[in-house]
Amino acid sequence: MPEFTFVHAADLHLDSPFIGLGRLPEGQNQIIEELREATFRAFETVIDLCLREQVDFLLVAGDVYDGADRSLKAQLRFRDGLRRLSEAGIQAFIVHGNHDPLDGWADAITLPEGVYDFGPDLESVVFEKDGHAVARIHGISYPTRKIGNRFGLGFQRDGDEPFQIGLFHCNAGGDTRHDPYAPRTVSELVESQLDYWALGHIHESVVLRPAEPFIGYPGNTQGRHINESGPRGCFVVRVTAAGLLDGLPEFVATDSIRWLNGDVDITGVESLDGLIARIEGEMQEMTDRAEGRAVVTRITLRGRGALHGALTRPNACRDLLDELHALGSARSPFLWVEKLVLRTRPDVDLDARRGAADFLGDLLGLIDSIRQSPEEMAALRGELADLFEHTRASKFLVPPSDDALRSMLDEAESRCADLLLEGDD
Amino acid sequence: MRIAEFHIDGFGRLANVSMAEVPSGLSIVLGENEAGKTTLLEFLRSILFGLPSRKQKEFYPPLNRGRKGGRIVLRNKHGERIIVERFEGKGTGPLTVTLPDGSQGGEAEFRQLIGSATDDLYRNVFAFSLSELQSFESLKTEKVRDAIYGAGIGIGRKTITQIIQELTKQAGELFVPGGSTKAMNQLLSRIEDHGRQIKAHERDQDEYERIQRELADCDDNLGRIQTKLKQARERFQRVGLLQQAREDWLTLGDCGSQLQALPLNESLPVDGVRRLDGLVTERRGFRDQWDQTKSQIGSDQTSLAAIDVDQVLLHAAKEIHRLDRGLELHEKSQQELLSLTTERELAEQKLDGMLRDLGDEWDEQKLTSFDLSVPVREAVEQCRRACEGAKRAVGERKLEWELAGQELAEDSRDEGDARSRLEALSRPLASLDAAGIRRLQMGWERFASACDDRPRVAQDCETQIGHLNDTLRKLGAHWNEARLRDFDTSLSVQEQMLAHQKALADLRSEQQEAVRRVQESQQAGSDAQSDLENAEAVLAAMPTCEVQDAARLADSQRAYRTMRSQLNQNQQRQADLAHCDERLQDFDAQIARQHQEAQRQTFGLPAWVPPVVLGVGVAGLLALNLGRDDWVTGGIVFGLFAITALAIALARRTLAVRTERQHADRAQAIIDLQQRRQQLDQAAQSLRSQLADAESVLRESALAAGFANIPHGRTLDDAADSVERQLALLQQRQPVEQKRNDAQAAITKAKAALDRARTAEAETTKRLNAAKEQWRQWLARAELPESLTPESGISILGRLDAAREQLKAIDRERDRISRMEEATREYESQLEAVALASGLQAELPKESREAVQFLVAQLQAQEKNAQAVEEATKVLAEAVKKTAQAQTKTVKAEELYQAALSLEQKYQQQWSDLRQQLGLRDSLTIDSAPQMLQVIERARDQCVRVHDLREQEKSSRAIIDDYGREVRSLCKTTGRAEPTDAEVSKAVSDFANELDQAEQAHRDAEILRKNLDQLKDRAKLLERQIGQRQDEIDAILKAAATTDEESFRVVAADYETRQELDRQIRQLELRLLQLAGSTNAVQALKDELAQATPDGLNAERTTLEATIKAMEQQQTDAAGERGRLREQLDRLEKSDEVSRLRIEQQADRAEFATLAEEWSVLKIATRLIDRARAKYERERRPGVLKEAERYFARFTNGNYTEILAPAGGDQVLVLAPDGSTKEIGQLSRGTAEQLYLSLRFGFVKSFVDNSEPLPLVFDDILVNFDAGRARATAEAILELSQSLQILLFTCHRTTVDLMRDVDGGVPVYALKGGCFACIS
Repeated sequence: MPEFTFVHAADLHLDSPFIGLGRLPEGQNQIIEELREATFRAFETVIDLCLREQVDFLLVAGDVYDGADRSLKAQLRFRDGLRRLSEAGIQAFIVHGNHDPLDGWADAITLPEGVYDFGPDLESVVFEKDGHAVARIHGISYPTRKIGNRFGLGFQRDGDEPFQIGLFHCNAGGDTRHDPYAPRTVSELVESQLDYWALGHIHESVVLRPAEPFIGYPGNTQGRHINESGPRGCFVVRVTAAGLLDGLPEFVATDSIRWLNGDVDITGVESLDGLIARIEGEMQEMTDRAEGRAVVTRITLRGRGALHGALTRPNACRDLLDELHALGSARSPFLWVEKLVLRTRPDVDLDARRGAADFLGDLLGLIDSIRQSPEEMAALRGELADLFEHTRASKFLVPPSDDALRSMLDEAESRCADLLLEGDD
Repeated sequence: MRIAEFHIDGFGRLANVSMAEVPSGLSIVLGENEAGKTTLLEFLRSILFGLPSRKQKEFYPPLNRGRKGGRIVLRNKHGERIIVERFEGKGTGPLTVTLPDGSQGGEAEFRQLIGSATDDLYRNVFAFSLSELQSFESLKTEKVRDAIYGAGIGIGRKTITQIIQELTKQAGELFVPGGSTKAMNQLLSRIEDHGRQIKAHERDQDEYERIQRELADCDDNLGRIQTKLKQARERFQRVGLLQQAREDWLTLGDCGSQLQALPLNESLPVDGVRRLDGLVTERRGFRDQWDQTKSQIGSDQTSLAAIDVDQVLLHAAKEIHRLDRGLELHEKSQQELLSLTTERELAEQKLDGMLRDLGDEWDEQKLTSFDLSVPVREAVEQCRRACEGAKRAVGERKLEWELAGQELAEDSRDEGDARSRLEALSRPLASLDAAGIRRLQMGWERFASACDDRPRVAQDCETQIGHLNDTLRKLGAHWNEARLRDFDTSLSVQEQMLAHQKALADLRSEQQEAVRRVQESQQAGSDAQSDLENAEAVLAAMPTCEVQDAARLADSQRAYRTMRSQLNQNQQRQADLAHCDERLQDFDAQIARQHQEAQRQTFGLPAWVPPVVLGVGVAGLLALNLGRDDWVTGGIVFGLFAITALAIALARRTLAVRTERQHADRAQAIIDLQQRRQQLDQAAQSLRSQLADAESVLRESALAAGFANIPHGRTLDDAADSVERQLALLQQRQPVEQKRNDAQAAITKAKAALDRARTAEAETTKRLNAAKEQWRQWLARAELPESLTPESGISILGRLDAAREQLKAIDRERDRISRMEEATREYESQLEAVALASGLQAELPKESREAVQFLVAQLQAQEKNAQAVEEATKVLAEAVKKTAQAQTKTVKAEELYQAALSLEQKYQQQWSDLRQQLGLRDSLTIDSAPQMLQVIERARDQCVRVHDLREQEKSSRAIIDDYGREVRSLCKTTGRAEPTDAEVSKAVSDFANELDQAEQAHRDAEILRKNLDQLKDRAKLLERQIGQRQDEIDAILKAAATTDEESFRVVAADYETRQELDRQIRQLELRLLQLAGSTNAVQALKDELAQATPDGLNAERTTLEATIKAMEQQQTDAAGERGRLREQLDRLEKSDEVSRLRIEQQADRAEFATLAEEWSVLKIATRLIDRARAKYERERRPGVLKEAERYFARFTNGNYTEILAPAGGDQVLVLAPDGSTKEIGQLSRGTAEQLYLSLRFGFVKSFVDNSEPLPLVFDDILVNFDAGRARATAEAILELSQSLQILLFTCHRTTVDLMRDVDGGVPVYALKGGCFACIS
């Protein structure tokens, strides 16, 4: 049997916008364009990789598009990418996931020759190379977004092909951070006696089992929000003539823009210029980490320092962010600060004021008691009902989690202390 | 900050009123009614915080004169002047502040100076009238309340209310439920709008599919049109080709005929005529060249014979060239010899002059032999330097000797002066008790101070005793000094009192808490009741829901939506089906039309017509022939009929061909139409089956949703709306019902809490009464009045402590006075003793101060005299010593002078010896010697130069002579006359010229000989070439079988014509081949051309042109339609609109989330501050109230000791002497005013601890106080005036008396007739 190579990608989420990114100012057309194109460029990088490595086929494990409201443009760009593969004689096997189920699939777009699109029933196809049947690919697509827990049961080794692959969009290994679509345990997957489980759905690159069979998620090809920071890409898998994996699949980053978290401590910084210089240092460090890619970052300012007062003035953060936008957009490649999170504290020791027999002492004591009381925290949540239970607004807001509420309380404490101590030099 | 001066320009009744130097403490302004006190109060407030506007009830327009406003001069705590001016103008009048450094500012700078004080605060707390004091409202404003709590709250510049307002405002700027203009509300609208737009774009998919289908149809249609068009164009091109080939085809025939008519000559040489012409021309050319060459040879031979060459000169050429090259050097040498001779003569003259300067004994030989070596020069220089040094030393030593003599004379004179001065200072010295006098001097300050202070201290002591007695009287009749010393105010008594106080206070606090709880429970009950009523009212007002199950409603809603969507799809399918049917009918109609057309076109001319016409012609011929025997007419008639029959037959044939072609086209069109109809029919069938499937699905859904049959769209919409309304109603009702249930639970809870609170209150009241009884018993044991409260008891203890401190101070003063008296006596006895010891008793003045001064003066005079004698003795000894030193110095200087003289003589002798040695004249001094040596050296250099010049001259002369000899030798050799020395140069030049001419003639002859040889060779060559050409001409003529050139040319012309016709035929054949495309096609083309006529081709071409034009138009239309569809498709494919909308929506959502977090933080912060304030006010007693309590106890002589905190509200309660709490309304007018004043004083005390103090202004606030309380208040005012400036306005003389009774030094000003006067 000849050796063969394939690429395992998933969760392309083509044409899905970046989340959490505010409205970019006028004149940043180039950055806007690059952000808009990011998911497409990542997909094109996957295609380029297939062509460069002269792989035998490409596997896409679901969620090509982001949702039911996918754009025609996304479908056409997907077709164009596959056409390039088809012209080079590279086949592609595709299953659909919860974000792009079959009932949302467009008949208008005819996929090119050499692309196998799995249907709603479990089926398997044989991949031949040089006249040898070298691999069998089992796959199933989501007929609709909502599927039962038993969906996709029955993957089982079949035929004499030496290497057998399961192509499936599911939540394996019980990752509670993602929606429990088609939940499977690792042992369930092992029992199917396949050699490789090409999974999609989890957006991080995860290897659940390194061999016999390999079970893994390559993650999505392009991070789209701050919780998808770090490198994003796909697996290049090499199979030997004996039908065995030639080492672990190689992870190749495909993201065109990288999301990264930045942390800057204001301790010891005396002026805004000093702070900007420190942030610029952090920006440079992130650009280095991104290996020549553009970066979108969320910078959290921490620490206790003299600058806290200046930063909490109305519009101060916005002005600083404007400055950082000007600096970041002038860089090449650009670095866009998505958000500036203020977690700084005033240069006074609030703990020391906590027990004082004055108003601030009383206030800090009250906040402590609220923190420790679930009932008080619930009452605090009730204070925000005007917004979070508002008929229209609630559609676009996630009610604050306990952690978020705690964080808001911390921020409110800091804000109160600032106001009470203002001018109290 | 205090008022130092003020000036009223115009304000109410007051105009141009000034008061300079307003005292810093308390001042009283006494004025009758309507004197302007209230106006003055308002003026002071207005200048600082703004003039009253015209809208106010009292706006104090200037009634007399002047501009409304004025000036106040303030002084800050550093004593610096600040001028505040305000005059009527915009708003409350613009303010001008002149700061201590002279700079000016406005309101902002003034606010900076006064810190946190505000207009309200100042008007209500610092400067107020009696009526304002009586109004509790003035203390209830939010700002004042804030200030009261803020004073002790331990925070920055902002009040709690300001902070809450600020936070609320910030939150309100972000989001308002139901609002539309706030940032988040706007964002929300935008997000929703984008959502709607994105939804609208979901239809792009269907649109895309539809356009793709239409595009495919369009492509098919276009393909068909293009095929037909291609065929038509091919035929059109063929006809064009035939027309184009026709001319060539005819010419080809002509050429063939001409060729056959020409004779054939095979022996003509190839290219014969051209070759013959060429050979004849060449032969002629060679002959011409031969003639020219012969003539050139003759002329060259003549020229050669005329040339003559001088061989002798040519042999001597080398020598002549050498001499010619040396000529320049020869002439140069001659010039150099001349200049050298001149230069040598000048040098010799200069040397002679120098020798004369040196002296007669000097000649060239002596000059050359004179020793000018470096050692000689050095010896002369050393000798010169030694002589010079010795001479200078002699001069210096002589000057030193003369100066030493002068100094000796001066010192002798000084010694004499010192001796006479010492003799003058001799006087007997007296003896004084110097130590005693100094002791007296040191003790004087203390003695004088004791004498001065004693009466004042005694007076102070008396005053303190008076105060102590007053204090004792106030404490009670049974208190005197003795009892005060004995009374126990130890810690245990205080502790007992404090324990009682604490117990009582705790119980009171508990009681208040219990009361508060009762009130809270009642309030909570009533709130819950009102919530319940509200909720029920709202529920009653809402329509009831038919279905209570929200899940079921949601299911129904989903089902309706699905059915609606299916219905829409079915409608679309039905429309598509109808469209299909319409198009099927169209196709049927088209097919039928084509059939009809086909049938209509089948008619034509019958086949029998031409034979019939021909038959008629034959009949006519026979008739005319047989009948009339007229062959000519019969032949004409027959001919006419025959031509007609032939024309009809031809026309019938052409028509038949055309009809057949049309039939074929139409049959093809019918087949196309039938195929397309079939496809459409299949599509319609498929649609019908889909429709049937969809309707069965829909029917099932409808049955499941409770419809009997498939409902109408509108019915479905109504049902969906109804469900949506019910869902909305359910959602609206749910929170209200929740509220109702909550309220019912709260009522139950509040009732239970109320019962508990009431029980607790009763219990607390009982315990409070028991504690009060214990206190009364303790008082009896301590022999204290029964009316004493624990607070006033502690206050009395404080006062007793103060009195004991006063007593101790008095004891200390008494002791100090006795010590002063003792010290005075001791000093006076010491004075007398010192005077006696110094023997000055008789002269001593009576008064102590003068006596001490007299003794001190005596002592100082004695000390001064002794010091002068000592100094004079020292001066004399110094003078004697200096004289002796001067004498020694003079002798030494003289010795040095003599030694220098002898050294100078020794060096002169040395020079004399050296001069002799060198052989120089005796008259030469050592000073001139170096110069002499320099002259000798210069002369010797000149001598050397003369010698050099003589040598050069000799050398030049030898060179000239050698050259002349060589030239003469050459002349001899060449046979020419020998030249003189002067002619040598010219002879050489002549030789050179003649040699040049000889060489040129030799070269010319050589060239001519070479040319002649070449010309002879050429002539031979030309003769050979002429012979060759002639041979070739003969050969050509012979080959063509002709004998001369003329006959050869005739034969050649025939041959050319034949060649041209052949070429034309080949060209025409080639062109026909190019037009036809292949050899086979050429024959077909020729056949076709043989068949066709020019007219027939023209007619077909015209028809085809029209057809192509029509089909091109169809193609353009179809391509346009295709382009339009492609453009639509491209637009949809390239559209970024959805991406853009989603990105924008995400951006807005991100911003919305960020603002939501900010809003939440602000809301939480607001709530936290609000809650903390409630807690603070409830649990902490502000410092203001504590201060106020102390004042209130003092004003009411201890009757009222406690003010209860206005916890979050505007209620103030006081604890009455009987232990009961009283509201303000229950107090007498005076006591209420004292309470208000206490609160204000309490605030002022707290305020000044944290802020810039401001002046206090009161207008007749004591009128309602009884004498005791008025006095206590007066004392408190005076005490406050120690740290603050106070202006007390009154119209009552008794108030003035009271204040002056408390402090006699209080300044009092009278305000009368708009003027101030200090009356005491």
